[in-house]
Amino acid sequence: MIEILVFLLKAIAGKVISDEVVSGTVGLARWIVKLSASHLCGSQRERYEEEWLANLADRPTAIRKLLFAADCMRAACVMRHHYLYDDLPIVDRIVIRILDLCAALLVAVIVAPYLIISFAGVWASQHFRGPFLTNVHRRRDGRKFYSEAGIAFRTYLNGGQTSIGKVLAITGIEMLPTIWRVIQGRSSLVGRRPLYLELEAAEPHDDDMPYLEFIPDSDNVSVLRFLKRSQDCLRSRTKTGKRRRLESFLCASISGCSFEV
Amino acid sequence: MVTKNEPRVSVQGVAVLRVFLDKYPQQITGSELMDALGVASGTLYPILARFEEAGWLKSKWEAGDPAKLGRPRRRYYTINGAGLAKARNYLEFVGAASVQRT
Repeated sequence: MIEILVFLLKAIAGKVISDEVVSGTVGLARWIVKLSASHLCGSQRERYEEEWLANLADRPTAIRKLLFAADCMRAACVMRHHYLYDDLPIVDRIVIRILDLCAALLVAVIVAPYLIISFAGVWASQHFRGPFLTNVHRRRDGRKFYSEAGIAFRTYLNGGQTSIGKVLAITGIEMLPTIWRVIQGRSSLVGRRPLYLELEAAEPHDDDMPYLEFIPDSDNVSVLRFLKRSQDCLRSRTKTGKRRRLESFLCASISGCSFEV
Repeated sequence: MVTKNEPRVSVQGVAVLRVFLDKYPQQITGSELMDALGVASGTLYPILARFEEAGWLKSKWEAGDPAKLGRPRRRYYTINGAGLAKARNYLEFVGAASVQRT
């Protein structure tokens, strides 16, 4: 009798544990897919997150889901490098990345005192809310959009520029936190600066409306500056047909905003 | 064969083009392509992204709201006119090369 009871308990425990393992593995796979997609740039990030999650659901077993997710990380790395380094040879990519890291860390050390003082000043002037502009925006339908504009200090409060904001804007310190993006590998000081807007404009799909109308909130002047710089970069770097399309896209976006660029 | 600004086409790339050519004008998801070719996602998606960027493939979301579907939307890929021409060129090239080798 006891032997039967032990056998039943073992069977139940085995089933519970195996269910937990399967559910944990699927959860882990979903997390890896989301992490992989977060390595991508611009609108590719949310697009591939949804696409990969849909394809993950099609994989039949938990192990296959996990393998699919792990390989999505490889796909994300390849696709991200394609945008960051175009078609540069692998040695050039490594050299650029090393030089970028060295340059960014050196600049970060040099400007650290200014950053700390600015951080404290902006934090206080913004009534102790986050001192940096967020790169997470919401679309009309509530979905998140991750902008690839550089990280900047908040310089506006309630529609008006703060006094410390004016100083930061004049001295250019407001954009210094962008160094973090270089350290992350999302931008470059040494190599080609990625044109993330290329990704946005290249993909004006049905429901992926141009996101810019959502970005220019009261304190996003730096985003517009970024757009203006991108527009200048386009003239020298993009193919003619694509350039015309992007220029009209950017002009329409910038002229539609109430800020002076 | 490869002109400037054209994406690099690997052996797997040719295989992807072959599937699109065979199933034209059917819409295919990444998952179906993986099953058809037996390639991993890390190989397939960069190829699809390159071809899409080159204007050989087009993709669109599955119709419907994810909230109503109860799952994320699928992304459907289709080959367009330029892609079809390129696919035929590459398959002819690969066919000729394999005949020469034998």
